[in-house]
Amino acid sequence: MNTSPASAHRPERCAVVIGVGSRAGIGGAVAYRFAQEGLHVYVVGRTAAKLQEVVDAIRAGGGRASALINELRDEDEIKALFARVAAEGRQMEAVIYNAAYLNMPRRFLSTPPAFVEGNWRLTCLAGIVAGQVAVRQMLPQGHGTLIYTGATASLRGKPLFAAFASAKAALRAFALTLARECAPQGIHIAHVVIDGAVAGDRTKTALFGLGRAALLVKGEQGALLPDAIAETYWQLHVQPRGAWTHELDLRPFKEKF
Amino acid sequence: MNTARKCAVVFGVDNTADMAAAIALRAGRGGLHVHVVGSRQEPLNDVAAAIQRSGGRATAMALDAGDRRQVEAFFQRLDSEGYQPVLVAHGGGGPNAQAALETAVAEVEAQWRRLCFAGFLIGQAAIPRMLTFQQGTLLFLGHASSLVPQIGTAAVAAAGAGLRAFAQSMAREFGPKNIHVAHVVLHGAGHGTGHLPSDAVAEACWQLHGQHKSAWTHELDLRP
Repeated sequence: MNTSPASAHRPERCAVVIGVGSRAGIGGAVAYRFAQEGLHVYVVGRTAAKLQEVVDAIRAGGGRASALINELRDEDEIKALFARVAAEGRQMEAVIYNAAYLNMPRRFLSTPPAFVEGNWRLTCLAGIVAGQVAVRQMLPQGHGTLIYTGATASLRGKPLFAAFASAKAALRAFALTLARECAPQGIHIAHVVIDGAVAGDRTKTALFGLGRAALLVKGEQGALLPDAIAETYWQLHVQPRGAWTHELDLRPFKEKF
Repeated sequence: MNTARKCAVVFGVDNTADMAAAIALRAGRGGLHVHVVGSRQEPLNDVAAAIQRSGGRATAMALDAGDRRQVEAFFQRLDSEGYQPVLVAHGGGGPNAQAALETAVAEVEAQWRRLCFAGFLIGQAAIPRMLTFQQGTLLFLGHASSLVPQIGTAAVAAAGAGLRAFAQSMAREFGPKNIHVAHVVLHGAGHGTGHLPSDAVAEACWQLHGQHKSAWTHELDLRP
């Protein structure tokens, strides 16, 4: 992977981070980290104010970024996102898929089918489509990185989180299959299992503030710091081709579950 | 006193030689009334007739297991006819050889609805009935690709992995209530062309149904 600064003869490099909320989350942290390396970063999310916060932070740190609102509702909307990026002429080096449906606990028997389907559409299907479109766009250049954010639930289903686990497991299966198929063409696809609570804004505001209490119980550095996660995403991106990681897990040093 | 008639419900019967058909036949031999369910009526009638010829009892029912109303209506009919579903099985089918990059959204969705979402709906409809009698076995059939990615299986791998996660979630939540949920991994089982003999798979499923609750299997792989 080429990490040298873009020369005058080559198009500016860019990364697309899908599923960005606040700066204090995985998406925001990854966007910030990739921008630090000189890539123009497209931060993609639903909420303009949050995206602007991330763009401002990146610019304050000397990086370049722009915000793209996209709700990933269907194939057309996702294709429009990548068409927009392509139209701006930068070379797309990396795409991060970090979007997921609201993960809230529900008993199995009272889980509405619409909740199952909503989970699957955003957490899994939109990730599949984004991955396909991104890879097609990267193939002509012969290189590129696609990273999916996974979760403990990607590997095992548990009570109260059946819909989330099902969607995450399905996304993982697709990602790893795509990874095997596209590696020979120079496209590096990795699935990152976030195996613990994230010390980010989404956790803090989850369950009417109970999430914040849960983080306190975990103790100092007992939850994954978004910036620490982002560092590993960057290291995945610059891995030499001779030894690519298709899946890795990230877990706080003292997590017990 | 429980006067309900114990029955098995086998979803996904598509031809007389597939895994689901073999499970239906085995359950019939085991003395359960078998409800043979699939999307096409003709193979269902054939399988039900085969069960009856060998002295068992069976009913054929065509429905779309990916449609919540149809699944719920079917189980309501079982209630009204006095059946107690003690064994419910779902899944199977085979991988579709297609590159992940070329797999259309419609195909991803069709596989998900058939295998994964249908599994959720069947679980949601079957478990309350099983809870009533505090007894039941729920078997979900997956493939090797449900666990380990295999080139050319993306859509069915995603659906199968999603189904497996549902099975695991149900197993943890309802095991303590005496509902045995297991995921059966079929290696080398294509669309009836696999090398895994369906009657041997059916026997393994029947043994799972008979397991003592102090030592339940939650995942079982089967390979030739």
